[in-house]
Amino acid sequence: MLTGVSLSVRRGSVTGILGPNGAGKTTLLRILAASIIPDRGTVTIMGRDAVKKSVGVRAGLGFVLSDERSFFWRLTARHNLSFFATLANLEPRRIPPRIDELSEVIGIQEELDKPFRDLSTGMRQRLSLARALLHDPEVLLVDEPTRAMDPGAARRTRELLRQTLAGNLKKTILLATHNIEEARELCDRIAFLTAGKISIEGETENALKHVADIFAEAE
Amino acid sequence: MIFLRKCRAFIVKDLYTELSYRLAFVAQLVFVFFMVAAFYFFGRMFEGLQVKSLAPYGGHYFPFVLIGVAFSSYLSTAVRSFSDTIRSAQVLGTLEALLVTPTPAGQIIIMSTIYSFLATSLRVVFTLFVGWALFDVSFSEANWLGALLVLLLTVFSFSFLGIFSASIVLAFKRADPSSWLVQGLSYLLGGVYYPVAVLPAWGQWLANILPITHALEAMRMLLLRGASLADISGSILGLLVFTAVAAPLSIVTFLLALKRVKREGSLSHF
Repeated sequence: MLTGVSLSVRRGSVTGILGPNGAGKTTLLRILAASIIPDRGTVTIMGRDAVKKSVGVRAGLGFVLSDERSFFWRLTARHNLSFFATLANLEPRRIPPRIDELSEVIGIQEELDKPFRDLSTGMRQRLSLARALLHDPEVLLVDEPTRAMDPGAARRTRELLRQTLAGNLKKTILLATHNIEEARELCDRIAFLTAGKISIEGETENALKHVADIFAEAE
Repeated sequence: MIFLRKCRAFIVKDLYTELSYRLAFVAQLVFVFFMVAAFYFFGRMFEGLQVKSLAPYGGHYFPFVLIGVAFSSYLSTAVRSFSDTIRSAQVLGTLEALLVTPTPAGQIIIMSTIYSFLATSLRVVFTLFVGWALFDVSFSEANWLGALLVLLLTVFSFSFLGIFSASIVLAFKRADPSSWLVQGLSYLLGGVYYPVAVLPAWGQWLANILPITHALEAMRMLLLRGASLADISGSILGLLVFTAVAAPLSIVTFLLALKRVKREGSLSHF
């Protein structure tokens, strides 16, 4: 449960939502994606109320889910992307070139025509990133992007997030993670959640000094 | 236009999935053949008998039951497909991915069931075809246009039972017992296997509340007796009244269930 969370995010920045398991990181992202309605308070994304105008808000954001089961396993990666592109309101003629373009950016060209069930965990996460980018949203919500990945796949995914999505494509990214090194590498700012409250917020290096203290105290 | 494109995307997605289980659909058609043949031989027991309750439908049992079993499958599809869609998306993990797209939740639930209705229609056509081609059921007098209109009304009215059932699954993450009750009562009292006229008075009264009773009565009159829409106006009125009551109830229930799971944050739970 989240209580009294107040957070502003600058356009084009990468903000890390850090915290131990159960702190409320994923819940916060779900509220921002309008898949959970908060009991109280307001959520405004790009000037729109995420509770009252949820469909409109979702048109401007992409949610990279941590659950790798969120695709249709018997369809190919291409069929999955094409299906979700239609739900994201892309016109039919724009879908194939958009899938080709994104697969090149994300690095999944070789995997597009394989059934989803045959993809590795790393490729599934990349496909999840590609899906979130189909409608070219300004804001990306990324939930535990490197969870369950081997170190090599995790490094490549972090590079993709930092260099391509934040650097080249200038996306505003909110990244939920419990990995301090990942946050240090990727984020401009940090909000640290404990038991549903933001206990630390600030520029990454400063904030992480306090985060390390909290973890040390906990140990 | 966008809505139709999305409907097509759901149909294509479900078709690809279905094609990956090639034998399943063939097995269903084989089962239809066995079922039709079984009812044909069952009907032969009544050959030469004058069954008073079958007289309004032409007097033969096999054409009567053929239409009953064929069109009652729309009830099963309507009641099950909405809740099955939600349940399987919860279990497979795709529900949240679908509901965070810029497509409204209600549209997603409706579009998810279209393929089931199309597949049911194919099975119904095949059932009637087997009855006509192999077992001499005559549709020479059939009012096909009227049957199509009644079919659309039937599917529309049955769907609200499904939307209600889906609300229960969404909110409580378990099968909806009321759907079993509706299906059980429909098969017991709705005139699927025997005419409603053979039921006791209380049974006939209850049958009038069920949409399937009106749908099957209309279909039999249209396909077996070539009735006009005016001839079956009572059945059409029955379906319309049911729809007028069920539609707002089921839509409000669904919206409340969706709001509840969004407040709880249990959208992807199962």
